[in-house]
Amino acid sequence: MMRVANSTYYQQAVSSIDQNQTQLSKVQAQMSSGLRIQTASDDPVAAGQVLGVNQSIADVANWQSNAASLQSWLGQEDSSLTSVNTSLQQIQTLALQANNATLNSGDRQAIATEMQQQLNSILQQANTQDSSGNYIFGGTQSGGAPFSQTSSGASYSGNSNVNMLSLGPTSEIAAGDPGDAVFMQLKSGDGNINVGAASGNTGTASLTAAGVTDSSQYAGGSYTVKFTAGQYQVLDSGNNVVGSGTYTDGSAIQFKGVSLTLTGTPADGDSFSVAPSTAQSLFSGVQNLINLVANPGSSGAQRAQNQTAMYGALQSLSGAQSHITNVLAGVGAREQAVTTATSQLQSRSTQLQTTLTGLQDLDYAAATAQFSQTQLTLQAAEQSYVQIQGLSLFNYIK
Amino acid sequence: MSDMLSIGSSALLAYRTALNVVSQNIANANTPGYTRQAVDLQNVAGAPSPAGTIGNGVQVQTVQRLSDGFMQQQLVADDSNYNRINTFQTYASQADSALSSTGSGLSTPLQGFFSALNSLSSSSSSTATRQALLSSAQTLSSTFNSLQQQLTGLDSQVSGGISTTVGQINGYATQLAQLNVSISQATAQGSGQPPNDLLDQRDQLLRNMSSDIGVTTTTNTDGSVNVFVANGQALVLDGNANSLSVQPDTFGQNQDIVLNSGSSKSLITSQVSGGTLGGMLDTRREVIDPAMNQLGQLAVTLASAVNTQNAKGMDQYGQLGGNFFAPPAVTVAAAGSNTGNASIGATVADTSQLTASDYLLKYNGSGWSLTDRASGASVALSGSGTAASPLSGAGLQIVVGGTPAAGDEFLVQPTHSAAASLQVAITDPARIAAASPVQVSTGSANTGSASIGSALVVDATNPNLLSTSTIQFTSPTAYTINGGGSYSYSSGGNITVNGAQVQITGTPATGDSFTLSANGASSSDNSNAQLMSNIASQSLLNGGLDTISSANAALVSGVGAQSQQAQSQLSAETSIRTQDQAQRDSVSGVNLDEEAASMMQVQQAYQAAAQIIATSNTLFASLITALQTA
Repeated sequence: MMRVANSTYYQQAVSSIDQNQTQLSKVQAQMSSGLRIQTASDDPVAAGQVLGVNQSIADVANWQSNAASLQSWLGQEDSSLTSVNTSLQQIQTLALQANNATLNSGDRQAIATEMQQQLNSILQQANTQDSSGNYIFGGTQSGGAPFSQTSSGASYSGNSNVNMLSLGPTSEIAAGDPGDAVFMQLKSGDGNINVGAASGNTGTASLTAAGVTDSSQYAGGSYTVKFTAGQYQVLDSGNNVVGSGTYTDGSAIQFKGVSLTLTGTPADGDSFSVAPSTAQSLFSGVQNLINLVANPGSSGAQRAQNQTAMYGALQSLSGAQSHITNVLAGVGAREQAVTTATSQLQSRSTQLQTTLTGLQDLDYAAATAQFSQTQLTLQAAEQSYVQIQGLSLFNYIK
Repeated sequence: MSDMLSIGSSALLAYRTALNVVSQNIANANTPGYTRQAVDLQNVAGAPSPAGTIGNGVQVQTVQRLSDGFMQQQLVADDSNYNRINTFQTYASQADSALSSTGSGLSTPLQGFFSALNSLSSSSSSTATRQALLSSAQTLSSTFNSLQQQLTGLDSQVSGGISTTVGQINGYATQLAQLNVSISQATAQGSGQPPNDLLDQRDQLLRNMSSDIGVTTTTNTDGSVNVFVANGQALVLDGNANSLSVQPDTFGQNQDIVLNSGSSKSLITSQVSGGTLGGMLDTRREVIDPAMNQLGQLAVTLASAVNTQNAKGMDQYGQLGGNFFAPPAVTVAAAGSNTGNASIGATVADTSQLTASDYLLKYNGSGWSLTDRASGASVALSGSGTAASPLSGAGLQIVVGGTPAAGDEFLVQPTHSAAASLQVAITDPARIAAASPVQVSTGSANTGSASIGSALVVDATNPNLLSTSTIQFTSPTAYTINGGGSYSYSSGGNITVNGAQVQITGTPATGDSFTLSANGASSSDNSNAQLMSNIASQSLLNGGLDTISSANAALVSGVGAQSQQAQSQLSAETSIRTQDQAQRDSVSGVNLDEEAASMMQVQQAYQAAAQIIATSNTLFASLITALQTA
């Protein structure tokens, strides 16, 4: 039999009351905050995981905000380029309308003015600013508008940089396209060659088709096609004859992989030059076209020269249209990628929230049960101590 | 008749003594350390007579002290273990709540800082965004500062506690030495009777002492005890008490515990175990110092990564970025015993190799060695220690000035106080270098399909970084740089010019050119902001294992685990001590019911003995009367 000292009763009661009170206050703190983990010592492993999950949630929120910014920028670029495309179509329609011998010079001037307005609106789109005042087609250079009008089109003062934004640990998406890639780096003619009539031509021959039919033969050289007495000669830049034949109206002249078709009658000594396409901005291409529409020439020979030049200018215009369409397709693809990423980020965020809840949230049912149980134990400890304290043999010694 | 009287009076005396003992027990029912006493009654032998032997009454043999030496020793050990872990747990849980609470911990400000960096990458020229980044950087640095302050606060509590406890231990030692003297005197004078109450005081003193510091004891035959601490160094020998004292360690950093025995001093800091003192030393060594160092490691790594990247960018004024954070310095302390005049300058060179350790740098007369202060592990050093060839190891570069003497020693702490000194160096939001310093542009006459990507700065210290350079293609497969050289081109390959790296993709035409030039002021370029916000996901610490936030999570859960472990050890030690105390009390504690019963028992016996005296008196009176009438 173990003796129990009075001090043992006291100590045991006090320590059991202490323990239960500590437990109660802990459950109470958990219940009032809704969190199972009050400090890391409650569950060190889970506490570390909670920090990791919180960091991931913050990362996802950052990427979501990037996605929203990207969506707004790409949407703006999309709508700008779409309206550029509309203007280009308008310009093409007007140019074709103007390319009609029955129009008088007043009509042509009116059409040219309309085309000029369209060009101005393209320039305006090219100088679009975003909500914070940055030019969306200026690369990353701030300050003034990147495009400024010149007599021959427009010049570019931005750079070739483009801002990237992250949508994930390894995924970066370009927030735009630099203006030079969109509007400046286009080419004259069909993109391979550009055909011009010599300014001294006196015949009525003009270009109706030109192109490279066999790119393996065309090495980018410049050639001259000369007419003499119904015959043509093709000379290379070293004046070597590389082709010759009899000229027939409407049938193709072919040499070195190049095919030209002329209509009308060339005069003796008339010549056409074939040169590789040169760099040309969208603005100067359109400006060139406008100038051709406005000044068709008066004589038959001048008209023929104008026609040839017009052919090249229209080719470069359709090149510009397909270029803008390609850029738009790229923007669309990025918008699509952003949309996909947004929905992935959304579900990732939901998933992380669920993980976080599982890690740190309190199971209220269990906590409530534990609270009542602890409360009961505490009451029992207090009551039994008071009862035992009342028991003493001394009470009976009278 | 005289026999009856003397027997009765011996019983009265004996029961009187017994009642005194019961009273003493009742009086001390709540005295800590009191051991209940009981009288040892013995019948007194009488002289033989023809009628047989009649005894001569009762006497008190001794007042017995009902103690259990084994349980007492157990409790001395329990007190030591309990108080060590209780102290440890108190401090560990404070460190835990400082580091892990969402209000004071690092994780929220870290997230805020990286989110602000991310916002900078989506609107890099906005002053509001830049201001928000600076504010969040200030919040982050002040969180580092305040966490370090809280840990320093704990450390000074520990320092104060150590001094107080050492003073208390010295007081106990002196009291015990005096008590030893009293006990041996009382034993000698008491002709073999033990000085029970002095022994109780001795036992209680030993328990108090072991609550402060782990002790081992030996008991002498006269009841006095000898007390030893640490590895068997004597604190109390008979009537002589040695003393403990506190002095700064050789590097003037932490406290050393010294045992003074006469004129000899021995350093026992690392050998002290148990008790409040052991608990405080353990807390400092295992919790506070490592937590400060890990926090410092985070601060140093963050500052270095952000500064390095900011230096590779261009600010809104068109200038290369400077320090974003003021870089925390490495502290170096020379040992007080050094005889040379060498001075040591240390800097952090590679944060991925940096650890949360403190290091000892030693000179042996011909060369230097670096060891981890806590583990004693040696760290490989390269270099000679000159400015041109600094000693390199553990991510540090150490330059030695002056002349060291053999045996000189230095304490190198790369991280210990770093979190306290982390400050944001930038005050002007325009100074944040969000843009790349180098812009690229495509030649306006280019006819090829090649395009150039943004420039990446690989060497911000290149003096020509901001010069304009031209990459010109002499053929679709070769290019020159600034008109010089001829390099073969492959699409997407890295081209490095004056510390900047670009990639050209696609097919260039002969004559195509690309230009690299200095970016201008107020650029909306975000590429450097983008690279800065990538710092969040880079594994910069511990040799490429941890990101800044995962290292913070490791710190938080590490300290949390220490606190949790201490908590469960504390519960275990508490119940062990409670059980042992109950066990001891079951032998030595006072039970008032028992005392009430024995009081009644003794009282009855006393009354009976008084009746013997009365009866003897009556008998004597009858005899006298008979003689008178006769």
